[in-house]
Amino acid sequence: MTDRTDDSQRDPALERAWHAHSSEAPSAQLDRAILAAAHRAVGSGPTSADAAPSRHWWMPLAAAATIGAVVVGLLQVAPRDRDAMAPTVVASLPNEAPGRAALPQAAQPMSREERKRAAPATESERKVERARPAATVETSPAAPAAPPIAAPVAEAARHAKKTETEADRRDAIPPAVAQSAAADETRQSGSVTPRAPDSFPAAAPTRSEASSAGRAASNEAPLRESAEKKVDVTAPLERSREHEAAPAVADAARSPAGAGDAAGALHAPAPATLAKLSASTQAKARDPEAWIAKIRKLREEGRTEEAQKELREFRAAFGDAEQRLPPELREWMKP
Amino acid sequence: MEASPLADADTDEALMLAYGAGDAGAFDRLYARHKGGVYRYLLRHCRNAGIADEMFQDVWLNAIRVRSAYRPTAKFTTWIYTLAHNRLVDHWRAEGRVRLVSIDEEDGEGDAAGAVAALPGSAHDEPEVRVEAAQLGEALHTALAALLPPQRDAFLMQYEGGLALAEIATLTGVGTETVKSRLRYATAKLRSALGALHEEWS
Repeated sequence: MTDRTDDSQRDPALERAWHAHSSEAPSAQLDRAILAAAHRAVGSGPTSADAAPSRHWWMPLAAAATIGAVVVGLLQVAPRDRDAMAPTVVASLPNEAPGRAALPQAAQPMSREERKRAAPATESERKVERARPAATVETSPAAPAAPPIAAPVAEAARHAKKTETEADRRDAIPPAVAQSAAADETRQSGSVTPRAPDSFPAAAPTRSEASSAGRAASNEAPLRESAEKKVDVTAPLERSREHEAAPAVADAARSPAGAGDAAGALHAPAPATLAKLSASTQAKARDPEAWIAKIRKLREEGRTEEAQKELREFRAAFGDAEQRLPPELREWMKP
Repeated sequence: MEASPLADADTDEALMLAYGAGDAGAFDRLYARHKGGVYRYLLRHCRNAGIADEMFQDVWLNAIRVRSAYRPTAKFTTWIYTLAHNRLVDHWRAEGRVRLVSIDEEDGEGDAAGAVAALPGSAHDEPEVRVEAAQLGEALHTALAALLPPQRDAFLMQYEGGLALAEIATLTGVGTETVKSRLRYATAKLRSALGALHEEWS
């Protein structure tokens, strides 16, 4: 590579002597380091400038995956929040489709899966009811070994029992008063029907909390499904109760209070509605024939007031009470 | 250079282009060819193996870094020694002793000859004694170290890098005649260091 035109400048003897005594070289370690750097640079791309971004191609992908995971996580949580909001929405629609919005779950269409899940608890409930005397409308607590659905059922049953006990205690109190007192008590206790995480799938976000609670509280209801198809379960009493509760709930929801109040508004209706629904469910749970027999008996024993009260309740509980009642009772006290 | 650098795939320039295109093996060959000359060029200037290692590594890493920008407009040797020379200048600047002004521009030839005569390893020393006392190589290195940096630079570029006068002139930014003068003084000094042994090496 040397330009031979410069030969005149060179001293061959000096050159030989120089090269003979000048043979230092970089260390092997230095050689390896430089060669490794050269290979790395080529191995990661044609140029170092191009290689730098290509090494980090996965970064935006990782960021997108992280964001996606967060969104999915949020979506997993979101439906439950929507479920919690549902009662407020339903409660604020009191007059729409009479009785339908506030109907207990028994009146709402139930998916096959929900029915399947509700079945075991319902079965145990049914057994308890069969063993129970017809006169005492008492709901037994759910079986402790029940599957996840049993948790809300047990809670609802507890609510129902509590309400019933209160109602029995205040036997002399008119039913409406007793009912509202029970509802108030339930609301004051601040207890919210706990929901098992998998009890309410995200597929039914618009279903109301009230109906969910009602579903849980009246797990015996599906068993009476066929009977309720025949009778109109949207009894006037129940409708009136719902109408009483609705404004308060709607007001709470509309209130521009803070988050705590809003949360309270979201959670408060559930126990109240639950108590009311439990009461109406209890009434419907009574055997109409036994009830009629009881009214007859009271009448025969001369306990007219009690017989009339029972008759009023009977008429309130059943939309087709007039068809069910025997002619003598129908004529004895007209509605 | 009459032929294109790419005409022969084994030329330095072709190897460097091949490396820029991703052929790591081309770099290996190129490095093997020039590592010694570049290393000694740096070592003779700084006379410190540690610093020479550091600068040597910097030079080659710089070559690796800018490989895609390499264009065979000049010989590869000129290019790599330019990188080494620049690194050396940076080193001198960092040490605060940049002194690349040619004595040719400041002094006359007679003065330069006097300066060379005043350097260690001149005729005042007996070559036989020095050769016996120390190795000839050490005498040469000592004589080289005694040279002014521009002379040493020109000598090393020619004897280690094999660069032509014009290339050294371009690289160092001076005229060809200046390079000639520097080489003449450097050669004279080193011949003097060889002394009587010069005939043996002839």
